[in-house]
Amino acid sequence: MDAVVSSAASIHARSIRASSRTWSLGALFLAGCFGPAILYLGLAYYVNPVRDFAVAAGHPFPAVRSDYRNEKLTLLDAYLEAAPRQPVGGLVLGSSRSMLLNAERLGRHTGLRFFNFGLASAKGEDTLAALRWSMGRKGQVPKLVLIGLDVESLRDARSIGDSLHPLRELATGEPSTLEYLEAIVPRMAAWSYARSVLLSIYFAVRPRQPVVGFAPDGTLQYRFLDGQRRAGTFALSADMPGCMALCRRKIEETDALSPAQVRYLKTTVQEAQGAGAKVVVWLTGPHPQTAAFMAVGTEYSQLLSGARAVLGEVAALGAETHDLHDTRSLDPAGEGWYDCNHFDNTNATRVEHVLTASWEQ
Amino acid sequence: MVFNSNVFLLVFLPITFALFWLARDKTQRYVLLALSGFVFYGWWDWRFCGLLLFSALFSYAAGLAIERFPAQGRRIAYFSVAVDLAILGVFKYYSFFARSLRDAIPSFPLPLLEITLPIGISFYTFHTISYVLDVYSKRVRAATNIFEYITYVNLFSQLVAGPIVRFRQIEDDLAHIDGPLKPDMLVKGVSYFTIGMIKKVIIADQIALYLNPALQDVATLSSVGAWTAAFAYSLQLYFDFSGYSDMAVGLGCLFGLQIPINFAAPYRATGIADFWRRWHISLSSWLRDYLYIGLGGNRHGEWKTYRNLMLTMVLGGLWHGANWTFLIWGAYHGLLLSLEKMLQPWVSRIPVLVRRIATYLLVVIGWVPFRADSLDAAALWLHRMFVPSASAHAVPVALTGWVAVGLLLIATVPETHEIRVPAIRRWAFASGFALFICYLFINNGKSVFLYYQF
Repeated sequence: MDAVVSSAASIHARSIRASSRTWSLGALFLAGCFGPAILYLGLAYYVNPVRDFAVAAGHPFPAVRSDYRNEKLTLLDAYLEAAPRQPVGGLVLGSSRSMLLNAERLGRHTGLRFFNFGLASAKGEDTLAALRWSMGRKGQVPKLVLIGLDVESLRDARSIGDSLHPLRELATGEPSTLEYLEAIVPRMAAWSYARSVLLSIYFAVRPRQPVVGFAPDGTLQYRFLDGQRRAGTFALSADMPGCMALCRRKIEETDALSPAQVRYLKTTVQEAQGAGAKVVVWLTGPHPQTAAFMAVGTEYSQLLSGARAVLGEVAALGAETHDLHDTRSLDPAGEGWYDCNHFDNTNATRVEHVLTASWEQ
Repeated sequence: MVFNSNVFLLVFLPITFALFWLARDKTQRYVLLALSGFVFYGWWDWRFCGLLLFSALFSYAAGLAIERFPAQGRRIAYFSVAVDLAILGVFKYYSFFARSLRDAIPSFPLPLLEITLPIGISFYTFHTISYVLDVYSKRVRAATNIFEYITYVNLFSQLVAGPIVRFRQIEDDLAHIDGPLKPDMLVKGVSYFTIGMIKKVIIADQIALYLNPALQDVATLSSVGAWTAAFAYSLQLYFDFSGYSDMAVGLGCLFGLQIPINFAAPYRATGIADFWRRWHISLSSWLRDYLYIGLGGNRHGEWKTYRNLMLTMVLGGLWHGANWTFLIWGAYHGLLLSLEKMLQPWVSRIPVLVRRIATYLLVVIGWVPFRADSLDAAALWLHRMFVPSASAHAVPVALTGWVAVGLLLIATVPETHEIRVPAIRRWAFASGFALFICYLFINNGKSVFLYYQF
């Protein structure tokens, strides 16, 4: 009897030991997951590599990507101060493809003083915010407004870092804290962000020359790639596959255009027209090879048709429109590009001619 | 729902795991796993949950009927299999058949229907077929607990992309599902899941990032580029599917179920038959047991053996999808298996290393039609591989780098089941950390498993 009791007790003790061991292993596994996750998020917040967080004390680590939006505001102020008696008569709005349009050349074509207020990854609401900022806050009443429209600018999918978040005063809709966290945490918990954190730390140790910069009139300059071109080491094809894959990812997450962004765009057109400006809206596009790649297995073709319909709608509002999504008529060889998504100065010049052809000085 | 998604990792899995281990008796656990299978499956398209349930209930009833009326067993089994195949035929093959018939005989057109292919149908149909045939041949008892059986068919870890688990392989585990969570099962489960996730999101998805653009237009590839792309696809497919299978095995362990392994270092095979003993083991053994042996296997002379091999592999190819490219891929492997059998005495004299390399190269060539969107695209890709040509479009250096890394890994790193996982605290912490790193890659972009399409 004693032996049976002792055996049962021993089995019971073994079972308790196994159970507590199971749970301690489970707890360690969870600690392995969430411990580094919390440490990483803290580090990412402190390093702030793409300036997602406005920190009063400043930024101890350099940004790995230019803070285009803040920079554009500073540039506009400086541009106005440089010639206070010459108001801005021409305004470029839109996303990164519009940022390449050269304000100085546009000024020569039109006789107007141009400022390029294009913003990276701009959505319809960013375009409206930029116009309102120029007209309302800065009192500039442009006579000609060139708006770049693209499929990407009419999506709802957006990440906080691509928005006007760092310029909350510019944003048309302030996100709630919960919305903000919902958007920012998944973005931070991604390898691309972790790489930015590491790069920022690396650049703090070994400073580098900026890859891009702006002319005083807001025109974007690809300084690094222009340097490569001058040195004869630039190769468009080398970066194409990776670049195309990144473009496609944006589209894969989208199955319809955003009615809100379309509304913002139309409001931009109407407000500019209301101020007496002539509005020219042009449909921009990526490199033809990228467009073909994105069209397979995604909703890109339908989204593009939708964007073309929007172009028709703004034409009905009285805007002059140009469908330049397919740039092959301007650039048959497809060589006037910095990368799979952005044309270079050669194509920018061609686009500028199309957009200002009907403007009479 | 996919394993590498936020909703699965942060919501579905923790809730299912917690509720499962909080439940005390068998029925509660069966019901929970069965329901979780529907949630997992319905996340993609809830309308097809009915089809899944019908398939499970029909085969369950067939199993009971076979045991109850043994004299009619053969008829019941055949009828049940016919119903399963009819479901598969309608949803997976009808459009292909109608289109091919329309091309061949334009005067006899069948209506072309837009039928959505229910995800995982090829897998759960094979589960139910194997169950009915096993009950009929008395290899397994008919399940009497309906929840136990639905749990087997609906088990979310293997529902949509395998492994194709036979009822008899997890029957004992299902019978003892009310047991406690054991430390070795927890460690094994977490380790398999983490290793599978690394294979998928850190290796396969990174290869895909560079490979998909390169394959956008195979006409622009040089010969070197075409070979690089073929090698890259062989690696992407292996790391993607074996990663998925490892995760399925790991998830099974987390719920006390030992799901059999699906891969055993296939690219180290020393022949095509050996390759099929190592690649997608659950499918190849299913085809062997229920099709090849059913056709007579190698019992009726040499030529009938070759015929059976060809038929089995062609049907195995078609199982992957209703497309001529899969049929050609299956026929290619059937031909290779027949030739290998025919030339066996000569082949066995070749040094092992040479056989291993030759097998891998033959398999890589086979992946070309498997991956290509059409026969024309496959022919063009193969043409680029075998007819020397230069191209202005260079294959990205990163893709070549990944091919080198992948080849090194398959040549040197042991397969997941060969890794001895110690049940120590350091290992648990390291697994958790590795999963966190994987999570960073998961959030980098959306990707699904390649075998979900089959």
